Amino acid sequence: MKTYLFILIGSICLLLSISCNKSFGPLNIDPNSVNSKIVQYEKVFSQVELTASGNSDGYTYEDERSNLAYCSLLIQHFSSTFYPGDKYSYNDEFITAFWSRQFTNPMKNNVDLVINLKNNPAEKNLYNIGRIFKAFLFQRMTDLYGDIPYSQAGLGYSQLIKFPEYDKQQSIYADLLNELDDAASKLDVAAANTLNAQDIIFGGDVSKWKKFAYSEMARLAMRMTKVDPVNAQKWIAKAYTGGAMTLNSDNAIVNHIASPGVSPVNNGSGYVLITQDNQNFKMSKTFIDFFKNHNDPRLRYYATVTVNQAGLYGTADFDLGDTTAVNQQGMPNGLDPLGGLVPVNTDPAYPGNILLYSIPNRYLFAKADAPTFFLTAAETQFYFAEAAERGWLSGGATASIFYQLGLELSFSQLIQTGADWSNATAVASADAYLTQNPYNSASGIQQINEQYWVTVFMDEYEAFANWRRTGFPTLIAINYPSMAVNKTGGTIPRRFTYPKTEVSINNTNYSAASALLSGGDKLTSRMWWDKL
Amino acid sequence: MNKVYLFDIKCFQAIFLKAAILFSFLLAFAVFPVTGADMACNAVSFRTEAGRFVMNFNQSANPVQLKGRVTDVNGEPLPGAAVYIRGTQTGVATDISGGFSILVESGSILSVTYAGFEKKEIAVNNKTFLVIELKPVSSNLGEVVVTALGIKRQERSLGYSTTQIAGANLTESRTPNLATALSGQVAGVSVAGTGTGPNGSTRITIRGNTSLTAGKTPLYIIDGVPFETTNQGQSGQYGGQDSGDLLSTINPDDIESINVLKGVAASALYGYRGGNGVILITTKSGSTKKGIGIEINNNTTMSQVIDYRDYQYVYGQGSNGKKPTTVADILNTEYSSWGAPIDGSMVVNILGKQVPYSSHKDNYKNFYSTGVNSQSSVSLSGKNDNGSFRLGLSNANSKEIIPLSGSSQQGINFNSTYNLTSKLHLAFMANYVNELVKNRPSYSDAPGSLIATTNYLANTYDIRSLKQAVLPNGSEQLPGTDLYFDNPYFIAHYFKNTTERNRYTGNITLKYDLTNWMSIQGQVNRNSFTNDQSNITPTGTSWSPPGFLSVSSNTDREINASFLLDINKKLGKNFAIHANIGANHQDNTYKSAGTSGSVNIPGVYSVNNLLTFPYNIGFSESKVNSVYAATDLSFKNYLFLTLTGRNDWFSVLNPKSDSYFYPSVASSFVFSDAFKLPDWITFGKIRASYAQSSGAGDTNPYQLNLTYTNNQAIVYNGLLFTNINQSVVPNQLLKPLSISETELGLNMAFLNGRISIDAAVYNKLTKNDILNVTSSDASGYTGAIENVGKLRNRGLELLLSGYPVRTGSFSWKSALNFATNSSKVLYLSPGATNLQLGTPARWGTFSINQIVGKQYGQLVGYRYQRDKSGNKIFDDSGLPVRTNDLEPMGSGVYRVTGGFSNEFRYKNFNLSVLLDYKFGAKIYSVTNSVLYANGLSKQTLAGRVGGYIGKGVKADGTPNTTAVPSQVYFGAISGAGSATDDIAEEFVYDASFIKLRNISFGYTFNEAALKHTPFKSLTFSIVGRNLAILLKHTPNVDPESNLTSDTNQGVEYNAYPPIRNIGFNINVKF
Repeated sequence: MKTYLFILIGSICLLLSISCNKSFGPLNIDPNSVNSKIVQYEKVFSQVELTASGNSDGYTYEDERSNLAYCSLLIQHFSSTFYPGDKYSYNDEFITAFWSRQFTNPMKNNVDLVINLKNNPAEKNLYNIGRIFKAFLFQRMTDLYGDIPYSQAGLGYSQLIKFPEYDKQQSIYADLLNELDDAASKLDVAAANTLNAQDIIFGGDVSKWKKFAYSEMARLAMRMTKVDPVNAQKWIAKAYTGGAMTLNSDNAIVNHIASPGVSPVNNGSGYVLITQDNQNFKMSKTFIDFFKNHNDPRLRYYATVTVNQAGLYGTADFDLGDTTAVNQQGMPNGLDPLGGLVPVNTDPAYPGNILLYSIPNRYLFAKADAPTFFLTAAETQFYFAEAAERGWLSGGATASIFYQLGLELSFSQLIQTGADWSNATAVASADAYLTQNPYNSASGIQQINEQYWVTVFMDEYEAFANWRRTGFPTLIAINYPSMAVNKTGGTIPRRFTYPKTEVSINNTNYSAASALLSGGDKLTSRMWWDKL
Repeated sequence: MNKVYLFDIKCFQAIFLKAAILFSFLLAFAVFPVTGADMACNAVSFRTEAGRFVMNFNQSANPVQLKGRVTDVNGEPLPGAAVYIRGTQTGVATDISGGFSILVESGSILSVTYAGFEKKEIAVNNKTFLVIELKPVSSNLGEVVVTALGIKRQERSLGYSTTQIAGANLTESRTPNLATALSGQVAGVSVAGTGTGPNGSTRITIRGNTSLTAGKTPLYIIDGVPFETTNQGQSGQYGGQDSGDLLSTINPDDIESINVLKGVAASALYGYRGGNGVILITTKSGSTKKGIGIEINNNTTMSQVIDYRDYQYVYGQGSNGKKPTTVADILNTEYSSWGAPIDGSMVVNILGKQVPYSSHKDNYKNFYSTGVNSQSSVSLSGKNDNGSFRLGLSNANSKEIIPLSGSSQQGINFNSTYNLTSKLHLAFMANYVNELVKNRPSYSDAPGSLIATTNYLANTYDIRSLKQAVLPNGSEQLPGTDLYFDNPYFIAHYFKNTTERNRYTGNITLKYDLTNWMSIQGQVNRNSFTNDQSNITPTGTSWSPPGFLSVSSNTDREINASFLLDINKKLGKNFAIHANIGANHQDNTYKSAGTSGSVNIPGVYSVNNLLTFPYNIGFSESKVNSVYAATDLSFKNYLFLTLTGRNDWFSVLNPKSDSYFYPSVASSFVFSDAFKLPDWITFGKIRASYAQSSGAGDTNPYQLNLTYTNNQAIVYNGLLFTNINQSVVPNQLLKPLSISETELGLNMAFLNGRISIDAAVYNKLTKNDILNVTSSDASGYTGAIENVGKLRNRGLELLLSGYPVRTGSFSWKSALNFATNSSKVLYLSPGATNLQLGTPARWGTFSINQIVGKQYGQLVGYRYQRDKSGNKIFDDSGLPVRTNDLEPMGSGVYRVTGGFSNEFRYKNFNLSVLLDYKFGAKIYSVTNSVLYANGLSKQTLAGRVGGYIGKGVKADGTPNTTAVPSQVYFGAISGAGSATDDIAEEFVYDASFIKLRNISFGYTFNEAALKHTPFKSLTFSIVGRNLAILLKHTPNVDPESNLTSDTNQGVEYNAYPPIRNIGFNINVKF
């Protein structure tokens, strides 16, 4: 009996020893991750910059859906028999793509970075660069949707705000401008470069970030021309004196690496184009005709015609196409495939085969390693040109000088995308173009913004925003005959509607925001700066 | 020390010899098919082409006339019972008063059988009159069942419902996946038929889904070892393969029985893991007789596609009513059957040849082949005074209906017990399985789906014209211009994927009898598997021309160490106590590694040949410590009370709140023993229980804190990119969800067990369900992890079984099981009434949502907009208008499930038939939607000439009169092209069905017939599975075609073609 008792007691002791040990130690710390105390925010900032280019998941998500399938077609850089932006139809996933991916990738990480570096003097420059880049990210978002969450955005973890309130675009603009002003003034050019190559845009060059801040300020300022000319004038002047971008080497560019197959280092839009262009994206007739009507030597860098459809990307047969200017033909917007309601052969100039329409140039733009431009010197000079034309830049150059500078930058900027002309040739070509198409102050604003439209090709968000503000270029509104498709009654959309997820999830704040839109949450409603 | 049989050379020789004899016997039958057979009392003869085999059995002299009577335990006569002389064909049936008379030798043994009663064997021993009393097999009377933690208890004492299935039910009409074999067998156990073929994964739910978002499955326990069944990857919105779960690595031949613990009370001792029910599998152990026994089983079946396609074959390939005239036209309309009337005139095909413009209904038949599945197993078992063992070996091979696709599996299972001393017992189990599956097909959306191509190729497009598969330049021969519409021969022959699994399970138990009423045991068990996958997208693929390779490997391991003290004692005359105290330590680790990239040198699929190959490494570890106790009190063996409690501590939770207690109480009252009831009531018991539990796996490691991760997917100039790891806001105070269940039940048996009823009602409530509460994307996160959801499952289960006919030589056993479950979403999160689970398919605006107040898993999409009188509204262009909002259209989870099994026995013949049925679910068929767009659906015949005028009204209320080309009309409904206002309502079907699931028809040679052969028994059966569908409402597709085995139930999209298996099963015992 003693033995039994011994075994029994022994067993119970053993039992207790394995079960009541509540200390699991550091078991629940993920060995494959790092925490906020040891993370290096320089590396987080690289991620912010890269994903801001629109391929945050590696599967070209928002590049395909928002940049190309909507903006590029609305703005008639491209035409498509397939994608919804061509005929103003509604696709929630596509309309939502930019919102859902940018908020949850670069913006989230950027907001977190700014919060965590605020009181870290050693990271003062990164903190202020973070603020500047954050301003750029929110500018793109508000310009697409209107009033958006801003002051409460990205705070899901740090402040547990799951359902952020929407800020009015007017107040967002006011704050973004102040942020840019303040952050730019606090950048310390003399401080050691802690970013270096980890800053994939400027290599940690603080002086370039300063220029970026003032160019971004110019963009915001000019966006307000219709609605708040007083402030527009004030801020464009400040941007000018602050020192904005003047050279193509100042351009904010993310360089991509062609990675076969899906990868976040690809240029998402470029990747979509090479894999889909001779099917789904054609150069719009509006765009090609603009080049042709002005005898623009840049046409061969923008368009190409491929007839070998079997030559797929990645194969030896891949056909870069014929870039001869005379062979380029744009496809009108608003057409269906053969067999559709408005089949493509209703184009009077139908070349007999859809493959004979021009597609985006495969040497420069339709490629996985085409660079992404966020903001450029050419754009900046066009802002200044318009401001000068409006008489807002006292003491600056004349509008025609800015225009010429912008044009030269626009031509030579193509070198950064792979154009095979020298800088001298590019500048000479720009000047020759100017001789053929001289600047005329009476139509100056139109000329400036048409050139802007050509320059920001592939940055379709920017092209769409600038067109809405200025009305240039003149686009051909498509009135597709099926109401099931055509959601605007033939009017070119003025904004992206809010995501359906906001309607169902963040309803209170969504309702408050959409109530402020005259006409409600529609594609045709106008946002604050887009005054009629 | 006793001889260990396993290592006895002589024994192996004997086995080898016997196997050789069997093989030659089977070979002889294969070479010389049996053309007839005669059987007499003393001989069996077979006629074959080669001549006549005769087996004679000598009969000794001195027969005696024996008389007797067969009765039940109450002395009631049993008419029609079979009385046989063991080892012979000689037998008689009892008369109306149970009497019989038979001529026997004095040394013979009588064998008496009566359906519903235990077989009894009795030695004649020179007697001339015998009263033979049979005990009913009705499980209600004192039968011992295995319950939670392997504790054996009297079935009558259980205050909750369990169901036991004999392993034999799973072996004949076998399926590669154990779960599918359970379909229709147990009331309340619903096996979702996934449309991912024989090697795909399955979804079993017991008494409804217990979590709003997590794809919970029951806990599987094999011989005390928890068995991981996580799905190893499945197709999603953008296609992909179903890599299956691990249930396919269980060999049905090794299974002795399966006990399904349905309610929470039954599984409460498993603590947090028990909430979804438990499937306890007991494998076969050493034989009960001394000596060595050998059993060999072979099951061979052929599988064929059941072609449910019912397409239109009036108009052929083309567009706009025109037939293709050039090769370019063919390429442009590869999946468009909107052409001219099929007239047999000569048109060009993809190869540039002139072929008749006629329908190709046989594209399925021409592409898919006949599959062959063969599984063999050999088991060797033995017993002596001190122990027993069983060694099971199995080998299975299958060739699927898709060319070059198939699987093979080898397994070894060893089970042994040994009494080290009279009080110290050792039990050891080890199991190893290797499984290799080649070329699993892709489902859902393109790319890489050969099923999509076979479904959608234009109806005059001959699939055989694609046999070339590769063009001279090395790239894929596409059927047309769509890069994502692949050549099925190219996929079948050049796409390669393999999943190889190795599963190792082991369990060692030492038990010591402290007294004759108290024992203590310690157990250590381990279950682990490795899963190696590789996937080749070949060079030349249209949408990935360089070629792509991905490889991954993951290892999952669980170790449990436990103790259990068992006390089983009578207390005085009327009371008894059975108590257990135990503890368990559980340790899980998971590791994974993988890489993928584009191929550098074309056609070389090696990791070293990838352009870039960042490695992804995964790791997680978690532990759970538990203590538990159970006590079972009985009074006069008719009133029982069981109390259990278990406390779990979790490493994955915040140490401040990581302890949870799970209690249960159950009671059972056998009123037929307590009261004097009419004679026709054989047995009666009522039961009631209440218990709390949780669901396994709902709290994963590392969910509490925000972390950052280095993004390996970004390979950029040698830089490291870091980002916030979580897309969902973590929760410091996360806890396991809570499940509580109340159950009432009734067991009754009537007329000596001729009819029995087992009924249960339950109410199961899930609270604090862990939800990813969707937040605005503008918060930076897609959601936050919170304990908020509430869900209620209520249901009724009924099992009616009995013997409509029961005589000595013929019996018919029939069982009807029926279960209904209502699964209602009670609460999601503050202010939320709708939670989107997923958008499993890319085509169409469609999702599966949880909606407060509605049944689990609503299919959500656009409906037709209708006026007040229900007329469809059309726009000015003549197209139907959709509703403004996405609307729920019913649940994809079946509310009513069940089966109807029948087993007929006549002498040595045996016929079993299983029907299974499910009602009350909807299914969204994406395939049918695409068939609309492509003009293959019969509905699209309307309006081919002159356009289609939709029946309904315009916005102003006047009838719609606008004709729309039918190609545009049906395309718009389906969401083809740029229209995104597809009307999902059109493609939501009633998924109810009744299927003739299994038939098996067998003949068992009894011992007499085998007397001069090495065999003790030989059974041959013809088996068939999925033989017919008796009711369905889904055109062109099988209603059991769910795309996934997760919570997204009710979506079908390019499922594996349904297959029918027919073959035979041979079982031989030595």
